Amino acid sequence: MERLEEENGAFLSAVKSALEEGVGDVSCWGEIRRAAAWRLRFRLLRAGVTLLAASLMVICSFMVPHMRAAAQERNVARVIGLLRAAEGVEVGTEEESVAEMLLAWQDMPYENALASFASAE
Amino acid sequence: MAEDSELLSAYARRGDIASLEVLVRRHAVWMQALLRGMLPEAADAEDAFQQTWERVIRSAASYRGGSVRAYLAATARSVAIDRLRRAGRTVSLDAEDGEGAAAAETAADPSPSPRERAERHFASEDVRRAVRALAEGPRQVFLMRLEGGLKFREIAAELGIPLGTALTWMDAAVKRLREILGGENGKT
Repeated sequence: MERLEEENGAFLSAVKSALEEGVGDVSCWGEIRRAAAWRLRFRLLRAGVTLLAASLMVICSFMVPHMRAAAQERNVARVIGLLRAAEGVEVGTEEESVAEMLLAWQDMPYENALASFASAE
Repeated sequence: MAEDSELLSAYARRGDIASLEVLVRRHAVWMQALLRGMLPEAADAEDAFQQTWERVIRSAASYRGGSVRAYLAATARSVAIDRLRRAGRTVSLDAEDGEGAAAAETAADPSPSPRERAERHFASEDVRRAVRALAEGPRQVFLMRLEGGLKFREIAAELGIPLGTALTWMDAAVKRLREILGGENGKT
């Protein structure tokens, strides 16, 4: 193929010159520039949204266990309060410590925990 | 002078529009010549030029190296074909003579004198008409080689044809253009 192009060098050169005559003006550069700038803004916006979503996920992944733990602590505190307020109630049995009872009760609403304790009496 | 790949990466990674402008202007002549050869109207070719760069802009982030010129030529060709198909023109690499083949036959002086042959200068519209008169496959190979500067292996890969077919079509294109435009072998 190099031989074909060598043998026809002058002809191909003339054809190429003719094809390229009158072209090369980039009058549409303004439109291309606007498309490029818009594309950049879109990519920045998308990156920003992705970063925001990732940040929210990280925050939620910390907050949810803490919120659940806080709710559990409130239930436990209420049960302890009831136990202290109740008269003649012995906290702790030979078989079960207060901590174990509280662990069993920590996911219950405190009314149910109190009823359960009273029925065990 | 920055390499094409550096310019494209500068835009893709850092949003450097100045680098993109250098790239656009550097490749304007051959790309527009390629598109003028594939599309019948100058206005179509201008729109296709703009569309080509818009596609390059959209896909710049996914550019993974290789010849930038080949990438640009392939994108320009793809845009031109899409425009032809939207205009209802069938685009088959195996097509017979292209549009205006008959008109192109009479366009150029069929019997130039030896002096005229030595000082060959073709009128741009005669050449564009002659190129558009080529069969689709040879035309695309010819333009991607002459204007796109692609290697024949790259052209074959882009068109999905065997290397031998690409070489044959280039040979056929050159011979056909000589018939249409007149002139003899490059040797004087």
